[in-house]
Amino acid sequence: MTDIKDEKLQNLVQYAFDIDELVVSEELISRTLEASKSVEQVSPDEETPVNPPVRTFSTRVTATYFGTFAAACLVICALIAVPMLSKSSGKGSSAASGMKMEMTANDTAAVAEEVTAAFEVAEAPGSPEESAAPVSESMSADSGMPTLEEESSRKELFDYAAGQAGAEDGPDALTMSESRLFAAEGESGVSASDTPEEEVHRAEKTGIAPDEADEHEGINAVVDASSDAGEYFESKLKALIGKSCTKLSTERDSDGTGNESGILLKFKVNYADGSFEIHSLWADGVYSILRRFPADDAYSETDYITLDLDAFLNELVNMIN
Amino acid sequence: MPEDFLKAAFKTEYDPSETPDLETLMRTYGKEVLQTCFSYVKEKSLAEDMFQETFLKAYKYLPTFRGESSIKTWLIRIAINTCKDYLKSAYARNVVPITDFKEETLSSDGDFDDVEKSDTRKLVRESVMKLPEKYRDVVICVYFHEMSLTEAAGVLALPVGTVKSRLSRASEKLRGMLKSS
Repeated sequence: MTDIKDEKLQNLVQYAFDIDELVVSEELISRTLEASKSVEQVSPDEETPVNPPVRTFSTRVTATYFGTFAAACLVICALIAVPMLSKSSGKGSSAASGMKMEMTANDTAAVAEEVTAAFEVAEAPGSPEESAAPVSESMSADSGMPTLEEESSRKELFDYAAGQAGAEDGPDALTMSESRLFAAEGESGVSASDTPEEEVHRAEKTGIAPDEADEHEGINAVVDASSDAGEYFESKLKALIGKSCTKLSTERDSDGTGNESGILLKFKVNYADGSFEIHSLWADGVYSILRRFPADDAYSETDYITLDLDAFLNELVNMIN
Repeated sequence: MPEDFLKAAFKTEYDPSETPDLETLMRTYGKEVLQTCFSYVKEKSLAEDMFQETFLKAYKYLPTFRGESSIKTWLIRIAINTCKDYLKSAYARNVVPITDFKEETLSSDGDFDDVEKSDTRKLVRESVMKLPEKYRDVVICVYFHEMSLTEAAGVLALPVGTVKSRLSRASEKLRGMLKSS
């Protein structure tokens, strides 16, 4: 296992970080010991893990079940969303100059494949005219509601959002119909829970080598949207959970250790200048927004846990019931 | 007695009484924790704050430590999480961390060799720090802390295969960055 280590590189790294001035001073030790007097130790019976494990589905059967269920729920989401879109379509020209929304999530490959299959939009993007078509053209003229079946409604939703931003963003901009919602993990078919053997198997299946697939970890969706669409996503999420959501100015941390196990859904809102915000929907209904990060911020590379699909679906089930 | 010998040989239960106290922990693993923190927050005083927070968390949860990993990897894991948490919350509090490493605070000699060494160190350090976080994590764990891939996987809560592929990519990127510098 150690054969992939580059010894020269290892020596360099060790040398670089072995900073003489970085010493644990007596003062630091005594300060920490002093501070520890006010810290109450948890009882072993409390079984509060410092680093609770990331939740994963235990079997492929379970994963497949949830994947199918996820697909159904997401179609429901699309149906709920279209009427809301028709309301927000009136804002039209207030759309900001091209904000990209990136949703990321982490789940098993099986779920991702199912979700991908459910949300797979035609690979070949529509013509620019089609993408930018106003929503009213694809909706019933008299009611403003979609008249097509689920699939076409979903496509309308995508086309609408594409139309909101695509035309203003120029040729480099992705559109919803050009990207595939929840596509990245589905494409690679690799999840964090895969074993190397599974990775190899999937590599054979997908033609993507494990190393390449690593680049696609998590379920990523890149969606161009306007600020209106950002508001729409937020309101949609609020509506889905059916609880009061409060915007927070501080990052929430469920257990004080940097773990984000309480997050149901997390997505990134990218602005044209490269800066971005992190939006999170928490299990308790709180909606938090981390303020705008600069474009080159390391947080953009963070492998945050993004979607506890199980909990998300439970919430949906509760809402539907 | 053979039975005693077998019991001792196959002892798997972690004995909480073997857990060292906080001061011993700091003296034993303090430097590694501090260096880990520094590799994330890039500033000495901040690293010391993260060090303190790491050990306070460790102290708080020490009774629940079950010995499923080595105490060193447990501490490093807390340190990494603490730093990541800080880097996020710092932005939320409108605190802008000092991202440029202040070399002058760490080197005092004007000697040419020292300057050269210092430049090399700085270059490697900055290259590591420029790596995307997922690659930096594995470099810090495997190269700096000399963890096995399995240990690193435990610390980072990732499958071993993922750690392996990330390490491979991280090495590739790091080599590229160093060559181009």
